[in-house]
Amino acid sequence: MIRTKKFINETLLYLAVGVALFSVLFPLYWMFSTSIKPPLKIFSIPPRLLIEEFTLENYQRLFEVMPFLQNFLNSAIITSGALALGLSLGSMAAYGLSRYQFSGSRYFLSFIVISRMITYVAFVIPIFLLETNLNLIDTHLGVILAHSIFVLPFIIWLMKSFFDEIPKAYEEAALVDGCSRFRAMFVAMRLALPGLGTAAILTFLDSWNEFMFALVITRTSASQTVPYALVLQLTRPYQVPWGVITAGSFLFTLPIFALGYFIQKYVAKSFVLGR
Amino acid sequence: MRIFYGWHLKKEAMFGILLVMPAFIILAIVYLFPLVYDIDLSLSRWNLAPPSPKEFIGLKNYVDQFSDETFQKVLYNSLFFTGVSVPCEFFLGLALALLLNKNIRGKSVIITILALPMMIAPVIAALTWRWIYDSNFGILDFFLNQFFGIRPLWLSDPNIAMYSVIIADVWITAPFMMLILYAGLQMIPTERYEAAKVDGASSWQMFRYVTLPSLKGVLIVALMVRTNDALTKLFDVVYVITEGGPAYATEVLPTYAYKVGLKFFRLGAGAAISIITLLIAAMMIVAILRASRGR
Repeated sequence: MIRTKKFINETLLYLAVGVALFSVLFPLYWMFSTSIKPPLKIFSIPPRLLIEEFTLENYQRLFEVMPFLQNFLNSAIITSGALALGLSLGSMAAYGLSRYQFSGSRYFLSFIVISRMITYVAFVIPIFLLETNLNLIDTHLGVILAHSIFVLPFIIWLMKSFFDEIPKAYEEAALVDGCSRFRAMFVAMRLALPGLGTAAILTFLDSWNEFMFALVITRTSASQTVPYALVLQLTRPYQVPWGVITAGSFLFTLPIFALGYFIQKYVAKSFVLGR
Repeated sequence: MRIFYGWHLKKEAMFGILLVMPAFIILAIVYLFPLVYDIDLSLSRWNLAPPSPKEFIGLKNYVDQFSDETFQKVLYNSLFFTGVSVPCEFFLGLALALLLNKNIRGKSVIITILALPMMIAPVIAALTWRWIYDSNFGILDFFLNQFFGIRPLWLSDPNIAMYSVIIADVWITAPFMMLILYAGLQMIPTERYEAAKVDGASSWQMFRYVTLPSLKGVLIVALMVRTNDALTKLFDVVYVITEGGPAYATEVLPTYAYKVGLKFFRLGAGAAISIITLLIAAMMIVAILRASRGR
């Protein structure tokens, strides 16, 4: 009796897990399977659920109908730029806030915490006007600076909590040994390396996936990122090229599939730490 | 050696300021100045099409918005979206977290897969859902028609479109709740459950009197973050799936602020909508905090 009850419980448990996995995976499968179907089969009724024929035609067309390589490069340049700027300036500031107190440091810290709750939409119009005046519209730097709106506060907030956990004794020892304050900071940075990794991965995700600022600031393929370029395909006349869109979506998401395991671990960690 | 405690020494403080300065300057340019400028804009009339010079009009933009029917509809949409999607993802996330907390084989693989929707770009997720919802060749339409004989117009029926957005958004954000609550569950000391067991508690009682109270802190923060996001950061999904249509049926505050400001080029009105969005979210957060302290 107890055994059957346990068996039923186990079955229900795995059934629930199965339903959850299916709900997550089906849309992703549908995206991928559409991308490798022959264009005519994509628009067939009834839709082909299983992959019967395999073709790379959509991937070929992706590079023909839109400057996908350039878009991908733009995404990579902007994300790298936002990461470099955010990690260097952000971790320095976080260290300063963690180790030193000066007039205004407390205000700055509460500003950092509050800033993460403020809607980005409040920046759309002013950033557009500001970058128009600075001739930054449709440039990589323009998007990188816009991404700093969420990248910098996030890195400062996250890295400060990491630095707070590192005992000061290491730096004090370095200072006693005659290191400059600057060198002592690098001692702490070395210790906070896992934290920097977490910050880098989560920032990569935010910047890589960002759409709204790209929409406002980019104009041409000189700076358009992949998400925006794919959304533009929706406005094509006659039939939306779903084969091309799903192919681009899959290529763009590949790095995230590759990093998935690490990202998932760090999201919860940063959340618990930052609380 | 109390090197780090000598803040009163000017030299010490100077080094701290030096470290914070570069980040502060960037934030002053891209964050503080635009935010202040947005408030200034919201108190001005400044249209670009047809062009009119910027002039101060006080709170008129705000007053105009609240008496505007479209804005009222948009505000209602945002509140409706938040009221439906946040509880949905909350209960889904909690259920998934409780599921993961059981003894399951292959847990780390399962978590990684279940977390995928929140890692991929919202735009990509939204594009995928738009393709699924497609009324001619979409897979959802085909199945519903085949098995139930119904063909809801997921994207063009004003009564349904909002639910299409909500389903896609819950798909994207429920994993966030799941991960956070799962992390919270893992931090509950097992002794508490053992003590409850000794006292003869049923599994419901354990959930009600051990799990829930221990999770309270995490729950409140997660709810605050998600409520804020649902009210003020819902942009990509709506923009891609419905573009706010049909007839403003899915237009929400963030997309509307963008549209009024940079599509209709009524900069002042757009800025006012973004500030209203900000204030409503702030009020909601305060309300959640109050409610959680009350108990």
